[in-house]
Amino acid sequence: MTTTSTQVAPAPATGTGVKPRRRLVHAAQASAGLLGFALAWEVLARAGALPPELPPPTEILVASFGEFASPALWVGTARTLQTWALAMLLSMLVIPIGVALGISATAFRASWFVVEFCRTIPPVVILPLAVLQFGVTMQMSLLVVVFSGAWTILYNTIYGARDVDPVATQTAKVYGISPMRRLTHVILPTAAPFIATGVRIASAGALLLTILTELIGGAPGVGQSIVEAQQAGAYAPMFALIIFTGLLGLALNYLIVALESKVLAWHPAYRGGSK
Amino acid sequence: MSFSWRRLAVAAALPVTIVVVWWLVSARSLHPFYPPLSEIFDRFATLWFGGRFVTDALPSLRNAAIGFAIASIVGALGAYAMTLWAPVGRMFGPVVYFIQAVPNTALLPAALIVLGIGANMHVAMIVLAAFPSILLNSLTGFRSIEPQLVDTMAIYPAHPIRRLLQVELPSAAPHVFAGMRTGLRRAVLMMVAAEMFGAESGIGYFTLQASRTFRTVDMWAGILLLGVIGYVANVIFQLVENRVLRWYLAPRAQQRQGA
Repeated sequence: MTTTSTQVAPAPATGTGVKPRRRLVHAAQASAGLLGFALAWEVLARAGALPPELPPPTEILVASFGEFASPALWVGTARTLQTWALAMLLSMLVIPIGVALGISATAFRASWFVVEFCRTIPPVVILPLAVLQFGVTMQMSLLVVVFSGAWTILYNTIYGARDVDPVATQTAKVYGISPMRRLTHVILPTAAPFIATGVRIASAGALLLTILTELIGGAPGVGQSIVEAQQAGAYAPMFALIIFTGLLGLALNYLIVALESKVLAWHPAYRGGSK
Repeated sequence: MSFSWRRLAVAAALPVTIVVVWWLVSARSLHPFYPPLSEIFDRFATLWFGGRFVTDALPSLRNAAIGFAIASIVGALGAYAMTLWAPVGRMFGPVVYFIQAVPNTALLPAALIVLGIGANMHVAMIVLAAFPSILLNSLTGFRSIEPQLVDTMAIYPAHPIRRLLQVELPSAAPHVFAGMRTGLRRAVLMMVAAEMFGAESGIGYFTLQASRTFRTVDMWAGILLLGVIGYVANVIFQLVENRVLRWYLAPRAQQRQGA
């Protein structure tokens, strides 16, 4: 059949155990990359070597102060985050279905084609239908984002529930452990890291698609503000908003990773910090 | 695993049921958004088995293929360079992480004004969408060479090219492919997204335009084609991966069956 295409990848641990002095050097090198990039952009833009659509980073920085001060940005951010959070909650409702499909070999075989097919469909294809059905609303965004997140989480959950060590299952059977306890003590602990990986992947995709539905479908949110800035020719604010979405992405990723290591602190793959 | 008719029947039951139920329920549908499936299939055949496939679908697929190829080369080579020179790795690491974290669809408006409507913008955005996961996974791959191999290489110095081809690349390959699998999904998504956002042709453009002008049968035919493209791209990639990584996957599959 197909090869397993999910891996449990615990969230990367922050670098500990490196000598403080060396860490300083590493940090300097790390920031040199970003600073060098910004500096090169600045010089080229000031020298007129770049098209006017690419304003120098200092102008973007100034524009971002203006954006941060405007309530419109925070209203938009709240809308975007609301869509993201709701979509994540709705997507996670498939976890019990995934566990059920993973436990039963027959259910797995019966469902794998549908899951495999729907998982590989680029989720944006639902957008034209969603716009038609719901218009420019949050439901429209939710339909697209959940269509993406739900299949991702379902897929990972199924493979997690199937990954149970046969010896553990047989041991549980031999000792006459009830199916309910087998679920909570054998299957769920095995599947948990897979589910967490699915949630992490779905979260990144959810933000990406939420913004896309705002860009194309015109749903309210940060994406809509970016398009408005673009159409008004306000390029520095536009880049400020794009960088802001990047920071938003980093923050959400950080949040999910922190939650993950908190919820899964008991799991061997997460215990003991860095290798 | 041997072939059996029973297995096939179990696997086919649900997909067949879904299509049959959809067909029957929609057969007399007068709802403007949900036309009969038979009409959708008809339109699918006339649209995509005719000239429109060449004019609308092929350019999209070409953009995706070029973008994905560039992203794979940049990702794998970039990761190799970053492991060869550690300071370079530390310099570019944060940049790549940031690019990965930016929801890349947010860059579409910027790409549109800088590069304009057309294949350039689409290919650039597809590269941008696909390369970070390929690079970051490859980086893990090049860094996870077995310690024994590293020691052996230190004792028996080999030519760097030979080292790359015989030790480093095979060690990293499964990770490179894992990154490419994610990258491919991102590339196909961006292909459609870029066409919906700013284009004058392409399947994504066609499908969204059909929805906006209430040509719902066209829209469904477009959705169906995009779904099939996503699936087929994944299947082809899987076949290539199984072929290239045969030496790596086959022993693992055997181990699994033995367990």
